[in-house]
Amino acid sequence: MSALELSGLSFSYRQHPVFHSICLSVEEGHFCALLGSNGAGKTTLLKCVNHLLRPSEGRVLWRGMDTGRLTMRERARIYGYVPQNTQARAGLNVFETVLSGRLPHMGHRASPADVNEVSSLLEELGLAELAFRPLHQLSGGERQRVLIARALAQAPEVLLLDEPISSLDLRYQYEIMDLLRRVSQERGLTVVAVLHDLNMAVEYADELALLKAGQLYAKGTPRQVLTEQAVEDVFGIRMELMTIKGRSVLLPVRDAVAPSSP
Amino acid sequence: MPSPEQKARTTSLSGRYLALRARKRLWLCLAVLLLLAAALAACCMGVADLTPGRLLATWLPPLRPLLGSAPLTETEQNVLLMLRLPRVAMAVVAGAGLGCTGTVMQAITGNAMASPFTTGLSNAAALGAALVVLFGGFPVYLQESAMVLAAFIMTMLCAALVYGISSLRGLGPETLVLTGIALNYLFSAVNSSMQYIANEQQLPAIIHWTFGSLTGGSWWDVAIMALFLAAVYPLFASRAWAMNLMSSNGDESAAALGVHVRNTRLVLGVGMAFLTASVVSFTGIIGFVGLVAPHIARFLMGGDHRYLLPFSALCGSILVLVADTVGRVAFSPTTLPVGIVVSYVGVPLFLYLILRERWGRA
Repeated sequence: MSALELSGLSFSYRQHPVFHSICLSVEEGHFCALLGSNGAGKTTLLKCVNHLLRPSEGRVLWRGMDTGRLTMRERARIYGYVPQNTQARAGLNVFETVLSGRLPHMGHRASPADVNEVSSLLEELGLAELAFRPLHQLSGGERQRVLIARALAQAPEVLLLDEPISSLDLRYQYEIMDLLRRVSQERGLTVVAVLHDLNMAVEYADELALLKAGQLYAKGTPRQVLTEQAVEDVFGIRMELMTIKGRSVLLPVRDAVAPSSP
Repeated sequence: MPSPEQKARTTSLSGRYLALRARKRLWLCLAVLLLLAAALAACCMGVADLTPGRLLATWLPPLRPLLGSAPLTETEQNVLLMLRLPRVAMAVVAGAGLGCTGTVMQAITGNAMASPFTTGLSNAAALGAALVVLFGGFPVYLQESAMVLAAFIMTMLCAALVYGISSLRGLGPETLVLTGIALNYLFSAVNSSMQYIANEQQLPAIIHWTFGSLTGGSWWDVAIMALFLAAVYPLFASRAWAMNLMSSNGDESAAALGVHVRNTRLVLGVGMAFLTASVVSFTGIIGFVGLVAPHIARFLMGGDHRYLLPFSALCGSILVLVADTVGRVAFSPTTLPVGIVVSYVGVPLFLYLILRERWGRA
């Protein structure tokens, strides 16, 4: 059963349309990767899901409920969001940052239950050692994990992530993706993530949505969506789909860039 | 199901956080005690020789034999109740107001260099006072009240202009700061023009107002300022988490956690404008406090606005009170305006804290 449904979603910056009439559904507990070339509208689409940007047309439904009609606080209980930019200014330490994720559920004062929830998350995500370090002094990968912990502290139904691994080295990339898959499976969390790495998407996502110039080009399982033809059409690059030790891998062919890039 | 070992580690982490929170509360209590000590010292220091023993002997007669001190004479009591105490109270309330507004301004702009005066409020207030001196034509006994009122109105007008213009571009933090800086220069230019056309009787009055002073403060002045502080502070405190998010992680993160960023910035900005206007219209410009008090508080307390806000208020109070007392007694009988002394007292302290943090990191 699809739990998250984008119905005829469009968005324009003034007169400039970013994407038009996107219809997409994601099953509950599934990991959906949003793919597409730069400027295809992935980040904007993600921000329209939790109404950080107000769609010019269309609705976002969660279990049949139009979440655009909810208050911001109510929406924050459904959607957790991890932004692309994890830069932080001097201010909060790691514990306080993750505690701020409880904001949609708590008042001015954090209850002992809120504090314990944060402690437990920090333990679970291997952040206990960093708990009282200032957030702005951490590395990019550590900050990424802290912001994921903050989004999980929201106890959301859907986790939205904007390029969660784009600025990380290979080890952190796998660490973060493993972590996302684990928490998604353990908590039955629906995850929607903007990704650039096609092989990561193939390996970790249950569903893919491929965007091209503000339109939904294809959606389905990784095997259905990421064909050699689709990759060439969307990214303007020729890639070969190979199976190595039972895993599907996309590799660029020699002179991979197509003559007419999109 | 977490294992007993995991549970123990979680409990230990929660315990460390609660200990940190308790330490912050202890800092707040210590700051209150320091403020009370500074207030007592400020009451006692000056031309009239008042000691804590003599104060106690006056108000607690049964203790006189124990203290061995003479009670205050009627003149001395008048000096204390009508001059020193209102001045001390004014320093405490003005410092608290400026400390709070500085913290809020830095939070809503995400800019550590911001203070209420970044948005041109001080120059607007100075312009209000200058206009009364130049064109008011009020009798002498009404001139001071007219200057207070004009300074208040001009400060609010400046805040309305800053917010009105910024809101045309979505009330973002950069727009707010840049609009404020532009208006600051504009009001500064108009002020200079006023000083240029002022005659030799008017010019000292205009310039003296810009020094910032607590001289001549009455209980009425204190009551009005305290009323504004009491009305605005809960507004700030109730938005401490929103300020945490806006200052540390930016608007997008705050909005994703349910904070209505635009409304929050507007409400906090209006509160800040009222509080700043209520302070500067009575005291003149005491600019440095709004910048440095939040930084001193942040060095000692961290960036959680639930504790930072009250601690900034206390730091502001202590700073203004100490600066005013030093200005009053250092070159007695001449009194230096608090707006000047506060920089002499605050800058070394500020530099020490910056260097201590750098050394600590090294």
